[in-house]
Amino acid sequence: MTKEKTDLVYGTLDMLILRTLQLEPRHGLAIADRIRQMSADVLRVEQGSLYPALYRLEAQGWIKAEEGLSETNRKARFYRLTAAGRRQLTAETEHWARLTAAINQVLAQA
Amino acid sequence: MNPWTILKRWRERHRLERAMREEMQAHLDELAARHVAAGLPPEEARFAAQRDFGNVAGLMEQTRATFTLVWLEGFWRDLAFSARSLRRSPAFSGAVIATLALCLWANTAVLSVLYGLVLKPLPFPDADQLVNVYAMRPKAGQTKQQLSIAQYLDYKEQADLFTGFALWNGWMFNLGDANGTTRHVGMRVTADYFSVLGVQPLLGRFFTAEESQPGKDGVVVLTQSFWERQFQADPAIVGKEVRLTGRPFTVIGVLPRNFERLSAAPVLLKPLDWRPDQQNAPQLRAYGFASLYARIKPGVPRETALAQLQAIEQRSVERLAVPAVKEFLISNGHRLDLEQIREEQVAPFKGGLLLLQGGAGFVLLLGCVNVASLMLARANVRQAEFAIRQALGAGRGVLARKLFAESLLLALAGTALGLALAWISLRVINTYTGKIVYGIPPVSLDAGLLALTLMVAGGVALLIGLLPVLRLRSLDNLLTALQGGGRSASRGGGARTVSSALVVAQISLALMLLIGAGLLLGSFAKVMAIDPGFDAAKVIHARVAYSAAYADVPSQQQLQNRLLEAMREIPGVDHVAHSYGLPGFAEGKVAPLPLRGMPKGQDSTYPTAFIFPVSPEYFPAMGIRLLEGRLFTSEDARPGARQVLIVDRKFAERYFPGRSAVGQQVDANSPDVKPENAPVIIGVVETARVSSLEKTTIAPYAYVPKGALPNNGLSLLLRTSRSFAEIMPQIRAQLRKVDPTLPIYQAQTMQMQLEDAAANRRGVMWLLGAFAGIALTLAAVGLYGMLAYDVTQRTKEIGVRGALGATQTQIVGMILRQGVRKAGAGLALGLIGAFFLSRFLGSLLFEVKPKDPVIFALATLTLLLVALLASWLPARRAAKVDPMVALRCD
Repeated sequence: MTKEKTDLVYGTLDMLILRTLQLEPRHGLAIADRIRQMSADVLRVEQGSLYPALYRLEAQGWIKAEEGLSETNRKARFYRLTAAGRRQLTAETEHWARLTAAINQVLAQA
Repeated sequence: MNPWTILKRWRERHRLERAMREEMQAHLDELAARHVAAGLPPEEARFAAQRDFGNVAGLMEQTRATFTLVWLEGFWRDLAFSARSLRRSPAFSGAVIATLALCLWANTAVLSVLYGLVLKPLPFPDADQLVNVYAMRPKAGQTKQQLSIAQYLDYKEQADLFTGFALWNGWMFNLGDANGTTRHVGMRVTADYFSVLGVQPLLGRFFTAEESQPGKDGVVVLTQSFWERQFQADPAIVGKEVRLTGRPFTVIGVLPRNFERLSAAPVLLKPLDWRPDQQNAPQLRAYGFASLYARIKPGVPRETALAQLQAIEQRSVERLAVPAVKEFLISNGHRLDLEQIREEQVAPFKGGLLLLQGGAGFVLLLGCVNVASLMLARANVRQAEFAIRQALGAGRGVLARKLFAESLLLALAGTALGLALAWISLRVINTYTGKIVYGIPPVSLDAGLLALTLMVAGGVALLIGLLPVLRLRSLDNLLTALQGGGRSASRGGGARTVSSALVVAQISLALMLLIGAGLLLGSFAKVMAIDPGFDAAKVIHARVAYSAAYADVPSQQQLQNRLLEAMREIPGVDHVAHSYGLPGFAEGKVAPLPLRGMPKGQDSTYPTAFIFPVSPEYFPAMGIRLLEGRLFTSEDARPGARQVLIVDRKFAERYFPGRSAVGQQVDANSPDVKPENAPVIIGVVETARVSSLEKTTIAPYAYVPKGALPNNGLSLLLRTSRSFAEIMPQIRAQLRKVDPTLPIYQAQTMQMQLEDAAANRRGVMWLLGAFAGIALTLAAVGLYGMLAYDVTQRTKEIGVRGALGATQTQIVGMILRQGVRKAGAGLALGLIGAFFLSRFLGSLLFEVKPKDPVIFALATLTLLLVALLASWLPARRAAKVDPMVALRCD
């Protein structure tokens, strides 16, 4: 049985989480669903590994947790992007774009 | 993440933990619900959800790391664990803590005293430019002589290499309050005293130059301690009036506390006043009455400054109008000298303290060696435990942290105990130093030194913790360690050489300390065996100060007689006498005593003596034997009687060797005294060592009858077989009957005075003795530890030897030989060290040679016996090894 799961490049999970929160606050499960959905099931995150990342981002002040009710009417922690988080996302996106562009260029010329 | 956020999240850790658990559980539930919806049975759906989610426990641990202080909490756990495990091995922890405590105690206590008394600079600006100026007349045996007003004024006017001069002397007064009248010590100072030192008033102002005129000097400046103690720190004290010995004084200021670091003795200061005729009195150059402090200009070398003073002094002496004084000064080599103002105060301690610091350093070295080897031995025993921990996944960092936690706990406990001991001993030492040098400020645990001690303790913790960690690093083959259960891991040859070298070093250091202590003990015994020449134990001295009511000689004499009668009434008192001062007090102030008809010697110096006025009963009261001639009678003290003297044996032997001193006459100063009326020596008495048993430089005594000499009080001497504590209340009661306003002070037996004089010797001897004792114990423990460890390591080998037929005696001999070889090497090194180092003890020894063979031999023998005992214990254990058990155990 072949695994279709593609491991995430180290450090990109943080960027993906921030990106999913760009439009609206979400809770943990919704973030996992959203990442899978946006990557058309290519990027599969071991769902639990979201949580260390979420708590770390929260400690860094990039996201903020708020109490809320999920779609199934359960109490849940909704994560919202802070202003600092928005700046961080922009920076990381730019950095990622430059990096991939460079890698693509190398691959195209080699 | 900034530390503030970390701390904030750490404080919220319980809330975050709950949120994390709820959130993860909700996530898992939802995933499971989806699988159920997709058709899986609930049980399988739960497993599937967990597979999607990942390792829940591991993820929780990772998440927790964002709001807990994992390393610190781990360290805290290690500390708690170490505390428990150290409690389980009380012998080990007790030994380490006691060793560290003793080492730190020795070093902190001695260093505190050394720093507080000798090294700490005085709390005045540019204190190294402050000097004490004094005169000396070597040919008259006068070493440190005080100066006079004339000299002060001369230098002040002419010496431009100095920024200022200040003259001061001691001054005692009575102060009455609700508790009765008390005698206090104060100072008289010139107005420039404060500016020379560089102190500013805490309250009010200091003296002006006008206040040095007699009659205008009714002002005082209080020390801060006295202001707080006696006047409850009254903020409105300035301007208030106090009566000192009946005379009114106005308080004009309060000194800051740091002034008391110069001397703790004076409680207040008044102006030094002088009459104009005192300014130029020529004889005052020969009899100074005050100390001169000076401040040298910045950048001027001390020798240059001294040379300038010397030149000024020389000119003044040559211009002196009285030929006798001029001749006395010139013929006795009168000159000036300078010293740091604390130098005289600290001189008695310096040598002893440096010696003790050396000893304490040795003890610290020995202690560290022992602690390190104890820690190593413990780590060795625990190799298996650490191997298992490593096998279970503990990183080296975690294990090192655990070992460090252990050594930190031990070091902390040792430091706390050591500091507590040091604090207690400083209190004891302060009572000693006060006896050795009057007014020396008490020593406390200095904040800087405390920090230094803590740093040393931390360093020691790190070091002794590090040693086992280093061993841990060498524990590469886990499997070997696990299989051997810790026993088969043998010590490398290198480690063995190091530890036996340490044991040899320990023994040699201990021997050096032991020899030092032995030499001091020998000296102390020699000093105590000296015959004081009087009955020190039976004589009680008490000084009574006159009040203003006894201003003239007749009233003083009347009081003297009433006091003598009152004291004679005390049961058990055999003799009562009085003298001018406390016997032995200020006996450095010698006077020239020109003898009639004595051929001037080649160095043409006058005989000198300490002239001491006493009442006729003085000799029987003190128990001083008459050797020749007669004692004083009451007739001799009568006004108009021929002046008579009694000299002591020292005087007689020095100036009349081989002939009788009795009948010799003293040249009277004035020409109108006829030869038949000149003062005559009527008796020779035994030399009484009243101030100190061992001082050999004390001038001879010349006693004169205490007639109508004006004074500020009188010294009573009571001879009794009853104890001091019993008699003292009765003396006070009798004094109250005569006059309740008179204060009594300097109450002591003469024995106490002699003991106080030996306090420095006694203190240094006890401390060095204690250090030697500690060193001896540490060396013995070190040797024992090394051999005992060796025996455990060689159990198998010893078993084989036993199986092959070695007898118990042979095995005991083998281990003993090993111990004695180490001890022998250590003793040899120690003897060589002591041979070279003992001369530094020179100044502290008394009639004992620095290389005294008996003491060297005794110390060596003692250490050898201790070493034998320390080796015999492990040897006996080796002999008891059962070959069968030893061979089977692996």
